[in-house]
Amino acid sequence: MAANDIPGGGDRLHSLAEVFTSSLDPKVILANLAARTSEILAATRCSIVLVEPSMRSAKARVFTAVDDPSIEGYQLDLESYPEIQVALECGGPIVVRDEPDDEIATRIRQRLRSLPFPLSVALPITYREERFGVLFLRFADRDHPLSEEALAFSQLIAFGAAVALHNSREYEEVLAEVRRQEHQAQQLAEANRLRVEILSSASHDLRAPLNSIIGYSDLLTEAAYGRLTEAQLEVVGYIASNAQSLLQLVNTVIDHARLETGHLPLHVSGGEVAGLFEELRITLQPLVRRRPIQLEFETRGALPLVETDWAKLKRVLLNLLHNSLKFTAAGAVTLTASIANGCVAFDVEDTGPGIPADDLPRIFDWYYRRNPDSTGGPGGLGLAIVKRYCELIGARVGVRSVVGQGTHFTVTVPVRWPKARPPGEPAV
Amino acid sequence: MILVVDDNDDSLRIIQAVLQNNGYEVEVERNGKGALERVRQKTPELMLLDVMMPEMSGIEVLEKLRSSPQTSRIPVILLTAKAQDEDVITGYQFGADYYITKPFTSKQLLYGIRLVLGQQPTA
Repeated sequence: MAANDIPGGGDRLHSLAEVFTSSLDPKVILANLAARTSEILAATRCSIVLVEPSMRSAKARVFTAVDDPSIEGYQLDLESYPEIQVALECGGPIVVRDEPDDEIATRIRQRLRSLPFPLSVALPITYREERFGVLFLRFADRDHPLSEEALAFSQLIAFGAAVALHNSREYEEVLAEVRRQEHQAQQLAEANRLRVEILSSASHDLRAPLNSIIGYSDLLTEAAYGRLTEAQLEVVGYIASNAQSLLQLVNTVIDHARLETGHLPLHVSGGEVAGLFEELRITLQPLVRRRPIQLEFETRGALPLVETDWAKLKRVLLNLLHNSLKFTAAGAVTLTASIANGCVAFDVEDTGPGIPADDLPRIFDWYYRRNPDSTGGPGGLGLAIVKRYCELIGARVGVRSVVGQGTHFTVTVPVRWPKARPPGEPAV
Repeated sequence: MILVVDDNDDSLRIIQAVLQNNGYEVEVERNGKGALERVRQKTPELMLLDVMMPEMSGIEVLEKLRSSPQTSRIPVILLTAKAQDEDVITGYQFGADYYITKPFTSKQLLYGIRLVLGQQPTA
């Protein structure tokens, strides 16, 4: 169909094309479309009647009505509009003329006695399998020259309306899906927050009895209630070291939960390595008592004041030392601090079984266990926590290992807090 | 005299025994209100203050201590069972001198006390 076959010519076709691109709102597009169509085809009435998914099948609603906005929103009984009903059913255009042999005109006359308009056209607005409604044109002029071209043109407009409605419906669906996912994400975040809260409160409840076990074990060992025999001392030592292992497990589970939720405020202060070493020595002493393991702390040269989050650095070194003590049956575990290139390097070395080269790239992954059969607590968390905490404090962690000789972890901590980088951004 | 404030009886018993065995004079209180009354009568050399206590938390006690000229300089070690960074940070903000996380060994406790009292903090 050439532009000059269309009533009104190419300019009007152009103005119609503009309607489709003028707005993203389907309501605006449909209203403009009806107005222009009415103008181009010189229709007396032009409306768009939509079948809403929630409506019963015999009903439709006037979406927009050019020249008669008062009926917009009006619900139609389709039995009174057989042309609309038939157009929807057959999916093709229906032209009704006020002539004795027009079947639909006869049906209308049976209900209304006379036809309100001598000529009416109902064009289904359909796209693929979706039936949205009809473009409904009515003409007061009995001799209106409704050409084949004009009809084809109207069909094209109805198709355009269908595409606009289809896109809008898809957009609404996508939007609803996005909202649903947002809602789901919010619910997940809330569930996670509750989980951390429960874990935190459970940890408090676990720590209180642990405090009593550790405290009374210490008092027994220190002969506060009378001197113990060698055998009794040994047993009390086991109680104390098991309590420390249990505490490490509790801390690991809490660290994991907090890393998952990203709830990790930083507390940066200046401090000395010597103080940290003393705290570590005191904490770990019960674990090596009566075991053939030497736990040694060394400082090479004079170390400066270090600006870092000491609680997190302590967790990093505690996890590495716990790890070494767990895997080393006999020999030595050594923590050495030295200064190099504006950083303090902490070297944790053990004489344990070592880690096979194939496993080394995965040891810092969550839930990775070197020995899957091991039942010693929540495996695959300790080293993963080390890596994430190092990232938080701008430190780096590396590992070297020789099977049969031992493992050597190095944590490099900047002497000055790396202020340029926002806390929490990965450094490794 | 070291004043220990904790609502947990085991905790009080253990701390008291450890400190007395190491030559410190110890007094105990089971709640924040009692602790504040006691420090007004007798200024302790150091306070060990549990954070999680019913009615008045250790942080509230610390805040009240720091706001009165008579008690603002008493060294305070917070005992926290939560080991949550927020507790530690809040504690330092309100002027705690040190914090010890529960559970602790007697050596950890003595280390912290000696550190705050300016004594040689050897284990």
